[in-house]
Amino acid sequence: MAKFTGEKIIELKNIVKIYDKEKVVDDVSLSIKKGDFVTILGPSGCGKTTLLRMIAGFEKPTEGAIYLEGVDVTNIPPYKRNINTVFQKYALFPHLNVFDNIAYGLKLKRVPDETAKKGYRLLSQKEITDKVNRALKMVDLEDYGHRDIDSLSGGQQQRIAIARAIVNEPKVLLLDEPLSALDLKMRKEMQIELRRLHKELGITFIYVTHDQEEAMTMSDTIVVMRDGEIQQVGTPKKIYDEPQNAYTADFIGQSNIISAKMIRDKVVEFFGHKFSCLDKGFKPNEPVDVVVRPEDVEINPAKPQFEGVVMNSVFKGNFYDLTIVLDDYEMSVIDTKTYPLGEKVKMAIEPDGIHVMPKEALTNEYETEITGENTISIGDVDFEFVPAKGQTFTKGDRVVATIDFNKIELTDDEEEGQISGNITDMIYKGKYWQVKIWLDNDTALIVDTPYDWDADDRVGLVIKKEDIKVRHDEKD
Amino acid sequence: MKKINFNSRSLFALPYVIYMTIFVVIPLFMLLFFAFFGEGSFSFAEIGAFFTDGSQWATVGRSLRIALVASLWCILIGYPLAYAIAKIKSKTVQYMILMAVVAPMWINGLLRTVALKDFITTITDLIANIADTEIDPTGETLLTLGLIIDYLPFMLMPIYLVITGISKSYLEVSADLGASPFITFFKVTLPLSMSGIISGFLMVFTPAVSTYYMSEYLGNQSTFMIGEQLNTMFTKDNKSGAAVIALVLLVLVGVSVFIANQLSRIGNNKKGGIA
Repeated sequence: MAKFTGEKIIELKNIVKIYDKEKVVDDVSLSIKKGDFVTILGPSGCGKTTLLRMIAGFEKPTEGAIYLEGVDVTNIPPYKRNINTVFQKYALFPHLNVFDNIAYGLKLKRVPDETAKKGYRLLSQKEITDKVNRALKMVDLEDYGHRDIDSLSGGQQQRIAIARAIVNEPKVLLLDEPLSALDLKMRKEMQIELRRLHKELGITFIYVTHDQEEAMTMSDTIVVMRDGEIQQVGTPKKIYDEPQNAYTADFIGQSNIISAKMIRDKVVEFFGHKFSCLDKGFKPNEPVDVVVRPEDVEINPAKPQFEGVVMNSVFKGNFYDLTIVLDDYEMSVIDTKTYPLGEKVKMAIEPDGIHVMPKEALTNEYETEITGENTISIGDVDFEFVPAKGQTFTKGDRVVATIDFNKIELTDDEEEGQISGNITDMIYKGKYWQVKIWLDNDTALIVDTPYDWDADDRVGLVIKKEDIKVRHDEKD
Repeated sequence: MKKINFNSRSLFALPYVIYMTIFVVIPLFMLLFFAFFGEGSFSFAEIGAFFTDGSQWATVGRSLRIALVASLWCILIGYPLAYAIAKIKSKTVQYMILMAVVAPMWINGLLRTVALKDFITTITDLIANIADTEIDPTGETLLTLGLIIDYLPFMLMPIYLVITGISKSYLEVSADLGASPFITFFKVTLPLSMSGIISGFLMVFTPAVSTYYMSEYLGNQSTFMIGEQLNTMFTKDNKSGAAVIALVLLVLVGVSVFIANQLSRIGNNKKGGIA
């Protein structure tokens, strides 16, 4: 851990950002401790870069406020914030050489000086040269000052971009996927380098990435984001061991996510077996999601709990990645030994290897309105439904439609569906995939499907009229 | 015999090579021929006559000065205009304004020049009538104005293209490192758009220095330019004299292109400089 004083350096309060009517960042509040290495992690389009750009000052939040060391900087332009950014595409000035690129910020810097008329002075040429050389040394490119930018490799350019930012000694360094353009080996090296720089400088780092492994190895704190909202904030270990929901569990590391039932405190049932676990506080018999990490499944233990058949085994260097089938569940298990394919193995999971999470939702609760006789609007398309006995609706009524996850059929031919949308957030739940589908009017439905789709696939949706249950919206 | 390889891609260049030979290389040799063999045998007489004639030098100097002043005005007017257009958010509005700037070029150049003269003359005649004097608007000012109006699009377009090509991330980095938009303009946008200014300059200066009908219609005796001198030679049927002037023009343009290229190279590698 870097120097930890417990002091908040950055505070985001209820940040909302809307672009073209679309909520990119939705009510995000976050405080960042001084000296921390914080990673904002999420898939592309989750709003993480927008959040970073608002901290830097390139974008203004639609709502909410940003504080830097307790001072509201929401409306302060980027050039007046003591924050520097390392950009994804480096953006080194092509008309300046390496030295002048790094010196750019220093030449503009005003240092307080009581003897000077205006109360400040500019840095002297010697001070600038010293600082630039020190920064070059820090990124291991000591003799590169005179070089042209286009004579450098991608990795070297990235180091210069980092040097150009840290030379200004900012209070916070923002890094926007800085390693994404580098090859794997270079990326690993730079990860270590960045960790070292963070330790040496003691500056707060806010790092944005979609690479969960990068986030795990580098950060003190990880902020998991999805669809513009924060899902979870915690140490890498905490997020790995105790993911808040199936989404986080799936996004961070390999995991088995299984639909289960919480029998009572510390007892959960899945695979037709009652497992003891450490979780409590759920309602009796509450449907839950269980996360079991592949390394937490023990094969051929002293006390077997359940069994399955080895379907596949892949050697991964120092372990085997096994696929084990139980009835129609497919489990991923990691073991140091391999087993013959088709062999039946006995397995057990220790209580601390089971993590129970509340289900995000049990069914789709879609808020909409009545558009005609027994029709409602879903994604701006009219759907027929069968009203329950005694129900009456009139056009314009605000209603909630309940549609079970497994009652929506997906087709890859858009034309065959009554409505179409784009797939996001696929989570494998053992015997089916749970996907989120964004309809064109920016509303979403969750669907359980036996097929493996690709993110951003365009699909058609078919919903039978008897599977749509409608009730009046109680809020009205 | 050498076999022609019809698969060779260089074959596509053939039409242009033929064109170049007929319309550039051969005329160039003809120029040299007339300049040195104009009197039947090789001699430096015509070249010598040109270089010993002070009035010829004055014409060259005047041409350079007028073209330079017009080019600088084009930069002063064209750069801010190009910058302003490039910063307009809507691309459609950008194109509409550019169209408006370029549209006059669809009208014949000679026609435009005559129209400008008539327009200005109408105004000066009106003033002259009221003040009961005589005003002749022709001269260096009108000529320069004509050159600016005529060649401004050639300055605007390359600058506009270069400015729109500057990645927004450079401006963001500059702001990130503490530069206000004003400082960012001088430290990033201006140096990065130098190449546009240079090519704009060349596209204005080169035709301006050898213009003929502009100086003919808008100028007077005191603005006698090298293009007119060339015309005089032709009307006198002095092929050798014309060839010498054409050669001098060629060298002048070549030298200005060279200098401009050097300048743009310096502009691109400009070593920082503390603001």
